[in-house]
Amino acid sequence: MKKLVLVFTMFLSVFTLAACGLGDDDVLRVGMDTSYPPFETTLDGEPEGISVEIAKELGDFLGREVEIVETDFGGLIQSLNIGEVDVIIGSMSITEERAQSVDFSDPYQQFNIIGLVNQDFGDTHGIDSQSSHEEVLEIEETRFTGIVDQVSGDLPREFGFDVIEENDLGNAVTNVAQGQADVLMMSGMPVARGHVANPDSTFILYDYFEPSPIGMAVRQGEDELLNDINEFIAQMDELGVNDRLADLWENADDWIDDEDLKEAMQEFEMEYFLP
Amino acid sequence: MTQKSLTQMTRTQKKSTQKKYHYLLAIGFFLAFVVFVALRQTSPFQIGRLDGYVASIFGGFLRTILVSFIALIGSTFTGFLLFLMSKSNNGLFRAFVDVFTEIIYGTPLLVAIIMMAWVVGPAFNTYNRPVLGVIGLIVYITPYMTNIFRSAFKSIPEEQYLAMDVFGFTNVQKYIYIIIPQVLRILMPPLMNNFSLIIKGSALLHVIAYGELFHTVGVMQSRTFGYAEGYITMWALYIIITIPLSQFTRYFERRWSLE
Repeated sequence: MKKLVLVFTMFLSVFTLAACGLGDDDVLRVGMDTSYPPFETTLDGEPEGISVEIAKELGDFLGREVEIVETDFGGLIQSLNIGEVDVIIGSMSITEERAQSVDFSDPYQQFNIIGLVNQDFGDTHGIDSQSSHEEVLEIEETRFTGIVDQVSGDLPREFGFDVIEENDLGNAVTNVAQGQADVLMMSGMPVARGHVANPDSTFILYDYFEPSPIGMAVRQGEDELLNDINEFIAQMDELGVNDRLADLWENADDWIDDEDLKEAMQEFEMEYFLP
Repeated sequence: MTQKSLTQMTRTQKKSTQKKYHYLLAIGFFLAFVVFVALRQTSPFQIGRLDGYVASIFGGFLRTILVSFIALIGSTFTGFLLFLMSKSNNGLFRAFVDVFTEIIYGTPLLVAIIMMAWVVGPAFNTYNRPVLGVIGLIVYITPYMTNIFRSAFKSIPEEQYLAMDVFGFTNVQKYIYIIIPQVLRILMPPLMNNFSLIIKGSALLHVIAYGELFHTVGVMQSRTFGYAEGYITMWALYIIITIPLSQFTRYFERRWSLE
């Protein structure tokens, strides 16, 4: 019996010690999913991209060091709420549903949600790149695909459609390319890149379904941090952040490996993002 | 040499060349299947999409081996500890092992890793996901390791222990000179199988964004849209580790068997 008590005391002390292991520090931990270039990506374990630069600028503004924590998009909010990260800066659209579990900052950029459409579907229903988004929404049997926990997964439901949900962009794009789904609603960059990868089986619907404001997210009740972040967002121009990011913005379409498409995107005055 | 043994020899030779052909054909069939699948993708298959990512994928490959090796060492240790506990005279220890084993047998590896990284770790104020992920892997494999030890030690007959007592071996001597050398021989093949299990299981560490093979391939895919290219490469790389491992295990079994 004495031995048992000893063993339990040992376990307990180990647990307590472990629990004390991590104190508060001044590092600003930023969560993002690094599979969406040019905003969030990674090379050889080093996160990079527009969101990463914005995070670093925010760190400079707050006088805190920045550590990027990679997490699947679907796990970002959880990672925030268990205290693993302090803020999400990961092209996250501000939605009512998410706002129930996190507090959003003011928008710092905006994505227009366009469509990647299956070519056969377009031919059958007389839809092409220049059709309006209302025409697509009028077709009742349109099958949408999207990514779990993202606007691409939620938005079609708001328009009253079912969604074939996938865990990553590759599967969602493949659904459209192979014809298991007809339309993927998403921001310009992934749609354009998905089309370049599947040039014959897909086309882009340039008329956007909806503009989608992007914000940073913090844990509910962290008003001090949220106020600081909003202050930073309001001053992004004055602080010169946008100037320093200009190159990145300008070269963002390097990720679209198709000169004609780049031109088309400009011709349609389709902006992938509005800083 | 008699005529008879000569024909026998050519017959066995013939048989072995025939066997070789059969294996080559079988391997060729699967290679052809992969090529067929690769060519039937909607997005044209271009292995060149891997350009610029070879180093990072190779890094992931090495990290897969590293993390699996750590998990192998760790779970061998914890598995042995649990084996000792299950042999203990203390009923609580034995009950602990039984309950733990049942719980783990009922837990999918994916759930073990996610629980460790997202629930258990934060409860102890740690968010070190690579470490937590490896601990999840170790915890998951531990009962399987315990099993290996159990069956290996069972294979040493009672008479040997009696003989050791007769010769006056101390406990330490029993293990060092008699038991462990025998047990090692029995232990190696299933240990290698578990290693293979760990390597395959480590792919699930990508859910906590640890930069192992699956994750580095995912990064390449998200940057190049080379999905089929990435998956096929990844598959080949896993097989490059696991098949030699199982072949080596077989060789080891043949070489070290007592018969």
